[in-house]
Amino acid sequence: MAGNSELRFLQTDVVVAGGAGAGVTAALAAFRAGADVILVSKGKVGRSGNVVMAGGSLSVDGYSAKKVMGLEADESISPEGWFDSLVKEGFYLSDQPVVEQFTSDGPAIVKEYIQWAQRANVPFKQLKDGKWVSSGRNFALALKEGLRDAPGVEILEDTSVIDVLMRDGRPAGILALDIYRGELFVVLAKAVVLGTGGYQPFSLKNSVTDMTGDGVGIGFRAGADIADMEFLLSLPTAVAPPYLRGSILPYVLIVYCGLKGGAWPQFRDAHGDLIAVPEEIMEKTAFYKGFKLIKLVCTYYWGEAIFHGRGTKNGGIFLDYSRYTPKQREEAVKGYFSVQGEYYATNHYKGDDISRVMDNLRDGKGIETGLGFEYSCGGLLIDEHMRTTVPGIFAGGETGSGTFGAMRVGDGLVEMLVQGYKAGESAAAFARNIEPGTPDKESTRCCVERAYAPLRRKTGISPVLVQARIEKACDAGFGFRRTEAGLLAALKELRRIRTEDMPHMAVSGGPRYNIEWLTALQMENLMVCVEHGVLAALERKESRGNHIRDDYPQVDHDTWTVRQIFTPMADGGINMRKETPRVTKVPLLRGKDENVMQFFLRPDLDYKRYQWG
Amino acid sequence: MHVEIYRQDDENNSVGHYDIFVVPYTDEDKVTVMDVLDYISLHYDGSLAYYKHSVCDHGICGRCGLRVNGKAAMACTTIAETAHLRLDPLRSKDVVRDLVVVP
Ligand SMILES: Cc1cc2nc3c(=O)[nH]c(=O)nc-3n(C[C@H](O)[C@H](O)[C@H](O)COP(=O)(O)OP(=O)(O)OC[C@H]3O[C@@H](n4cnc5c(N)ncnc54)[C@H](O)[C@@H]3O)c2cc1C
Repeated sequence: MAGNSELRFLQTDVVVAGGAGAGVTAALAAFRAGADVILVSKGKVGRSGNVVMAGGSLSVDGYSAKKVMGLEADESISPEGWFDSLVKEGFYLSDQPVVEQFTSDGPAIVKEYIQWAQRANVPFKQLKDGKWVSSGRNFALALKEGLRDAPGVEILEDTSVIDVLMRDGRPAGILALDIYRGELFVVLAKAVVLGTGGYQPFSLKNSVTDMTGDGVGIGFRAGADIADMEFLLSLPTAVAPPYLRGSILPYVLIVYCGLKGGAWPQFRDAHGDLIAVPEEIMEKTAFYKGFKLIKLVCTYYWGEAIFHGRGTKNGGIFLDYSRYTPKQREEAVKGYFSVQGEYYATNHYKGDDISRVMDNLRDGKGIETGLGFEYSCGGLLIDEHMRTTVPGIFAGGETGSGTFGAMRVGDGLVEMLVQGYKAGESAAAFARNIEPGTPDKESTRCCVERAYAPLRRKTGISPVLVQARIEKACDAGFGFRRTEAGLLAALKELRRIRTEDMPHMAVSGGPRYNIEWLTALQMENLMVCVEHGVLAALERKESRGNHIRDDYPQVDHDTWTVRQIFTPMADGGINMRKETPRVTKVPLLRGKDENVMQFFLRPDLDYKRYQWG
Repeated sequence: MHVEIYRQDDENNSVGHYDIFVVPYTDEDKVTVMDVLDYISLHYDGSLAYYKHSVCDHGICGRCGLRVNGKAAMACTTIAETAHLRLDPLRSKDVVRDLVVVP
């Protein structure tokens, strides 16, 4: 095949990368549209992707919950209002046609998703209106059930897509690695969907280990533009004890103890001093408007304290419930378990035993908590048909960009479903008009060479160490508080890693289940994400959403209501442009806000969301 | 903490052996077996094969099964609480390499 007769190959119309929400719905939609489909997933369908990590909940607007889904819900929460809130709370940086696709097509696929959950016997709990709560595991199992509606789809699991193979500037298939067999092979296809999730480059992880930005790196190498790479969403995440590190239990505690028992913790620094959050911010942003802003409140105020030297040695702060009576604390614990206890073993959150932490809460001792990153707003530049800038390559879910602007205030779970499905439809339609063909010999040779290089190199730097170095550089300069100096240092170190370490990544042992080999390939993708992320963050001399600059705290609507987009260059150089987001309904803002929290106090934001409590 | 790990390369019919590593954790530290494996992979031997792609690290995906001191367990939720740790692949399936068995 194409000059690489040693490579096994399969053939199909549409090949889908990713085995969670975006991948499954893309495969289903393409199958329903009559295409031959192969789905390639690094993990197993139903057990992989950040979907398994979800806390979690998803929701649709009240009007659609009632009219499309036939549920009891508050009709006054309309799709238009939903759209309005998403755009505004995303700091006006969303691509509005993409948001419209999200709000208008979302309810139909969410309805199907709820049915899959029922069929799989992992029913989601419906709260009032169009909001459902369940566990990440259930969210993933429902997807697996949904894929049964596409019985003709061939599923290749534990297989990582490495590159798109090209023919005259269009995709002709993909190169993939069967992880357990250690074998590279090709899937010839007329259209490609990338639904591999986002990227997470820090050492504190609340996400799965697959989040190395593969789809973004793969798409970028194939010539597709990427956007909004500076925006990553963080939320309260345990930093200690070690067995709990990376758990989002602290966030879930803040929400559910507060919801049920009214017990909002105070925040204390390493010395026990209060980290003050203005009352007005608490009232008007964090708790009042559906909790979505708690993440930003914590990121902003804790981030400030930690950045200015008040953090613990683990890089955290303390959640303090001591102002409550023992009885109130017991109520809060009960409130928490009354919702979360439905999904997990006694005294567990997810698979972690949390008895000791809950005893600490009962005793009024602090719970040590830091900030971990759960979602990347940036990714491949897509339009409302999920087309990337390369014809024939489509993307959806977290691999894309533009839905949530500078901050994710809507549901990643809905995004993966609604965009994956659309990407599958678009890919099938595209494939219908294309004759099958083989990839350019040169394109294939390059990709295969690149993939084998670290395996053939027997001495050099371990890719595991390279990943640790990338994470260290990102922890230091690209995290929840940014400065010119910190970003410059991060960029310098990342470029050093790219030019000095990565060409020498070497792997010991043979190809089967060779985690160093897989890591080496993943680092190529992660490097695309972080280098452009840091560059975009450096360029953006303001604060917006989750991009918080200590040296430029203002939100500057006049200059910076723009998306930063990178086009890959043949010579490896950087080509960055700034574009005003496409507007359909919500006009962009003028003026400035003092900081990202003050932005939410603007009277003209006028939220149209469900209210809580 | 002493960690004894079963090693077997990925050639067919290869024979296994044990490697011993000393990691700077104590049973007081409450680290998980996954933390121990990550430490060894980063500081001593990146070629160690243990389940590491698509890992949730919080007992959700259920894929990091192995034997800890003889008992089947998940690496990510098992706290390394003994001064001597012995890690073997699960018995039920063929070994692909080191601690990883066929999926
Ligand atoms: C801790 C946490 C809590 C969250 N809670 C919520 C919540 O409550 N509500 C909500 O709406 N959202 C939540 N999110 C966000 C949500 O989980 C994600 O937005 C969503 O899972 C993204 O879906 P996806 O299909 O795009 O990608 P993912 O779910 O990440 O799936 C990616 C898939 O692609 C596969 N893959 C990766 N690389 C490759 C490759 N190279 N080749 C082939 N396959 C590949 C993976 O194995 C996986 O199957 C949370 C995220 C985290 C981390």
